Amino acid sequence: MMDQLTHLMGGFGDVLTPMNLLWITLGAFLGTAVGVMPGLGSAMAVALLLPMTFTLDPLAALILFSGVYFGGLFGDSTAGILMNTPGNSTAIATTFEGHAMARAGRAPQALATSAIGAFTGGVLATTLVVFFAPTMADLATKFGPGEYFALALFAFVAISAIVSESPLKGLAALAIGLALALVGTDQSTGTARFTFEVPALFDGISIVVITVAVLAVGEVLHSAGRVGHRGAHELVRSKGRPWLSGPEFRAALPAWLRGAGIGVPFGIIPAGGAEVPTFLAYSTERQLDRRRRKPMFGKGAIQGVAAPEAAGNATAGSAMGALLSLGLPTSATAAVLLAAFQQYGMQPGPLLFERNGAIVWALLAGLLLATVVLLIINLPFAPLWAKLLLLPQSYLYAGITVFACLGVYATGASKTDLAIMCVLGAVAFAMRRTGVPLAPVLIAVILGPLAEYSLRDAMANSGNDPLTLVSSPITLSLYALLLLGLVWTVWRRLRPAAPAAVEEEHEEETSGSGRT
Amino acid sequence: MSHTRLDPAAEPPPAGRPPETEEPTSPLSFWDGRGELVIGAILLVVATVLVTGNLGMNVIGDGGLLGPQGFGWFVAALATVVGVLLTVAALRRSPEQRRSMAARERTNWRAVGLVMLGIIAFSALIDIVGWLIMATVMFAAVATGLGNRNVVRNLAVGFVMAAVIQIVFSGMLDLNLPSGLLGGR
Repeated sequence: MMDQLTHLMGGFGDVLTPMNLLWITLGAFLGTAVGVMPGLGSAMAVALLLPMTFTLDPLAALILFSGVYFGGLFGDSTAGILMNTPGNSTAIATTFEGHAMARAGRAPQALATSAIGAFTGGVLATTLVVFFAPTMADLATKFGPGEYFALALFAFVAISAIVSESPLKGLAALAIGLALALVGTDQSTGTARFTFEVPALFDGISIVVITVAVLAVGEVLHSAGRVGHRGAHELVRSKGRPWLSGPEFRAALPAWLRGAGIGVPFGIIPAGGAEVPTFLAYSTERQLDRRRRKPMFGKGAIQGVAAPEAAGNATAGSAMGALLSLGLPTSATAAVLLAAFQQYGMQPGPLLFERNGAIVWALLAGLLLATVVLLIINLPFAPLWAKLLLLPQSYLYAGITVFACLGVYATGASKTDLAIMCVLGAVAFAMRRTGVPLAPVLIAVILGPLAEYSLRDAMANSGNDPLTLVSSPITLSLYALLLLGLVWTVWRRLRPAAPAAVEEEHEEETSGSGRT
Repeated sequence: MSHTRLDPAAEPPPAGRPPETEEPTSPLSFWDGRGELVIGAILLVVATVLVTGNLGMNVIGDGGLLGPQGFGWFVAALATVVGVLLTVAALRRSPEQRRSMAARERTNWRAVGLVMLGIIAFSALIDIVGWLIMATVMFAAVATGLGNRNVVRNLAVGFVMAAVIQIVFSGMLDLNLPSGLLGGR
């Protein structure tokens, strides 16, 4: 324990320079902005920033990105509360009660509750990461190829079949991602695979190109397709005291803590981000509310805002832990962050704490600072952020397109990259249009090579004995978890869908902006 | 693909109109409420590419049991199975379900086409025509596609943005964007 504190203090020492503070603040501002605007997500923002930060030093870029990651989760509820259009799928759960509060004239309290909730979740989860990530990394150093294969398989099945709305559509996205990851030179034999004599493909398809095409270009095409089909939403004016009264605070506090408690475990499960825990936190609070003397749900219950927000950021925090200590991205944003690490020649995973310890601890310190900065810029100023919603959509998306093309061109000034971007953008558009999730594509692109090479290594090491894959307690428990998840999925689908019906309805409505 | 179901000219103007009220009266075309057909087709193309690539692969050395091709076969199989299942599911859907799906899948094809055209034009011509012109044109194409009919202002805003990016990136980050026609060579 003391060790971790010393390391963290060292991290604060590294991160507390004027330049780094500037990057944290910039990340917080950018993240809040993309969070507030419907359709933009932190994953897309980081993907667009990736090619532009080649020249920054790694720590500066990483704290900028993590500021964006957390900031996206702070800002996403603002549009949901004031306009009933959640900025992201992670804010849908907050929107039900949040917008009800706003309509009842309590918009500032709803915004404050959500900001403090996001802060509580983020700080609690990051603190847990500080204390437990090194232990987890130690455990993970014992991982062999068999364990890594199980981990990757677990991530694939979890994100595509268990969490996804339709397992078939999730698997479709997974297959597309795995196929993209196969292109390039085979690492163990040097064989050129699926390159079709195009030299630009020998190094594989750049992850930057894939993320920008799938997240940014696909999103722009998707919103173009919806021109003329969008309903108008009215912005509820947020006026009055932005503080919480004593009773309000006392009502929200347990909900913040419960939400954070629900969110933390989900960060290490590849569940595609914070949607599942935010809904879980919301329905927990609704159940608790039913037992109260005066049920408030539906009329603007403060707990219904507090818990999902805390859960969302707690998930983001522990997702950082899983990313740093296991190298396991559990959401689209985490997958893009992993690509960022690789861009600087660092491989998240058990060895990261040894090899790049200084940067990791500085990053964790930066995360804690970022949550504080985010609280400061969100708590009193959320109504100001809502002004961003007045920005013309046409210029916003045109700007995103210009930055997307700039980013792809900047990675290598290659025509092939631009052509791949066009094709993948069109594919992503077709996927969005039919409700095929995008996160499995990114997870598959990132973890596909890990799965393949660890399977091949495991086979080579054991003389092609398939039993080697289930020969350790870690692999066995991962497969057992996987089986449990599948059983739960089947059970959930066969059961008459009564209690979840309301949520799913809303999810479908807003799935237009659905992404982590 | 030939999408006959939506005549873009008949689209309501982009503004807050109450959406899809007259929908159920229009007859269903083959593609209505069957968006998965496109995904199924994409998956089958992916599988075909993987199989062709695997068959024609010039394997170097001994790759072990799976070799460089093993995973490719697996992904090809996965893509084929999922692609076929999605296609079957789309073809078997009842007319009522398709009607409600079609309402959700309604797409402004003219807007999508214009945006896509802008991006493709940028990708194809950036080296010849240069950043400043192509970024301006693309910005205007996307903004117009997204319903902003003031083309002159779209071009102006796009030009300012492209110019600022060129100055920032060439000046501060040492990233050279092609000047193309404006290069004076």
